[in-house]
Amino acid sequence: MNRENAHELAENFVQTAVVDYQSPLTRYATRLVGDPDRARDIVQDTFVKLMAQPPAAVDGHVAEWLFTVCRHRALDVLRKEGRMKRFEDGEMERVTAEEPRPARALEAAETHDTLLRMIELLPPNQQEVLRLKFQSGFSYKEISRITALSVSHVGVLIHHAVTRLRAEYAAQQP
Amino acid sequence: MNISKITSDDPRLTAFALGELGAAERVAIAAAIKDDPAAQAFVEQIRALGGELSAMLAKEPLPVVRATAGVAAESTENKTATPVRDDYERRKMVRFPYYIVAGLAAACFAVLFVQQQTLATKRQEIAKAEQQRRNVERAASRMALPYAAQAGSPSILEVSLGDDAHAVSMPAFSNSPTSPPSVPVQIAGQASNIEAYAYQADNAYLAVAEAPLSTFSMEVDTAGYSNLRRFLKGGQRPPREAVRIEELVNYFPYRYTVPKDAATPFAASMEVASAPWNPSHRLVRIGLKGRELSLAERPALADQLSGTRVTIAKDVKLQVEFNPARVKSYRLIGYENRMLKKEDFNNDKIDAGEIGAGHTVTALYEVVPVGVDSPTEAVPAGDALKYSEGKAGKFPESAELLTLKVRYKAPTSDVSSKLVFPLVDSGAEFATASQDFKFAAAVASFGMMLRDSPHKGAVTFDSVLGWAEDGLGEDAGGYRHEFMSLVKQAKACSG
Repeated sequence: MNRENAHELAENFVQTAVVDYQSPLTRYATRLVGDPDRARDIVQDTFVKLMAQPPAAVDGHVAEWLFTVCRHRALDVLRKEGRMKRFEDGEMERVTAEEPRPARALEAAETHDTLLRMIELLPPNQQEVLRLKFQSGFSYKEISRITALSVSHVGVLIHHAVTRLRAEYAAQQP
Repeated sequence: MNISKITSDDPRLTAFALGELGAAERVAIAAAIKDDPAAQAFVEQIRALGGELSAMLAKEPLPVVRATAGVAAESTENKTATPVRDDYERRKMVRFPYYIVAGLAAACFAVLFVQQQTLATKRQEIAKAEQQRRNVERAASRMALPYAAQAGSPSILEVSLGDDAHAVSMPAFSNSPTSPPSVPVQIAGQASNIEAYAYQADNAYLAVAEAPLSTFSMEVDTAGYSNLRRFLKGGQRPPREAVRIEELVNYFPYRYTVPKDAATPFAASMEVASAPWNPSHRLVRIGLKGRELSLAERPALADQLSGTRVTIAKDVKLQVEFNPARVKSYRLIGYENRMLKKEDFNNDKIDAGEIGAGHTVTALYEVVPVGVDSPTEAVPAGDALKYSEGKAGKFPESAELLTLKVRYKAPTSDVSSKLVFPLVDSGAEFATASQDFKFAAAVASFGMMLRDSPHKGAVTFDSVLGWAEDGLGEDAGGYRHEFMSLVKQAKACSG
């Protein structure tokens, strides 16, 4: 392998990651910070960090690595802006749990819309793991590494989210 | 593990429904809900809901991050759950001309790529090109990331590596950051466009003379099997790239020998017989079984949740050393994205998989014995560094086929230990192999068929069914019977 090829491959490594993950990461970051512009900055920072990384360090788990770094960066941004409340789970659980149940307020018009609106009424930490699981396809174990929560905590969050959705969804059915 | 009763308040039941449990826990929970229609109904509902959620979330717009960034940003913005923003920011957002956003994005990417080139140039001195090639392939082929495919979106690519994984074709969009990459774009998942998987070519045969050591992390996720079931129950043959053989094989519990004493975290059960799809080849089964917890060690009731996932060994890495006197070439079946470099085996800083109490992990190798025509290319005279002249240096005429070395760390330790297990091939035929061996071979060959593997040999759905039937055993929990019904469904879909 000559130098030129090595150079090309090092480039390809990052380019491939950009092609594969830029959109899903931007979607994830937008959810975290609630702002697509900031999300794009965060995702760019994430790829810049990837470039500084020896390929061996992320070997075999690029997706997990990118989501982890992206999340850290997003939390940094939120912290700087004093918006961390969004992610302090205890508080969010309590606040959201006291909100009125959406069940009757929603028209059972279209399954997906209904579900989507129900998801958006879940506490943010449940929404996040739910999306990592069902949208990004990560396993509990991978989500645990991305979010720095224990595997069992991830299991509890997903359990709460799906059992609540199940109950509300059942309430929607005629 | 014994669970007498499980309720729908228990997160383990959700984890069970979503295919997130290892074999031992899965068996325990299946047994606990066997006579509990309410719990079974709950599991079915959670599975159905999971399917709805995946389908629905897949349809959420993906931000289009290049030329049309502004438009996509707006639609995403509208759907954001709880936008935390004051009025000033909102007005600013609305007034901000999107073409500038797009222009800025383009400019940022130009900077990004200049930086990238600089970094890459610096790195090329030290980076091993071969390693990078593998990284490129792996980055491209991360399988478990189904996401929405928007029509015409250049961001959703399936990079098809083909059977020759060396022929990696990548977009060269650094020259023109705002135009779609010029690679063939293929969206997996047919009309629904819901899931995109990157195809990862099967591990190739490696010549023992060149690569006597095969090293990988025994880390298995079994979600692939649920995925496969979902496709087949829906009357659809899964896309080949969605089929992960090691995930299928490891979905099933096997009755491997338990470790002799509490000081040993796991035992290895190895078996070798002819490969049913190619009888001139040998099939090697490596099974690891984690030690069961003693009653005293079981966590208190309050801890049951985490207790079922007690890790008894972490960073479990396997290295198989093949004896060139017996083996001409070999391939590891599945585990395409779990391969490690041989030097990673002894490097305690490299993470790997964990083994939980009572869990089993299985890996299969297809081996071409010396004296059999090898499917590999002619082997250049490399320096065979093991059995013949390695550190051990004592087995030049060994009868052993291979030696399995397992490196692991105790759950709280940073320093690894090593276990060594040699395997001698007694020349067994497939017909006389154990039931677990036959069943695992049937599952692997089914995976090879669905992946249209170049190594599938003479396999047919009917032969898979025959081998699975021979390997049924007691089939506690009915998993093996269910597998057979899936094979029949696949046959019907393919007919």
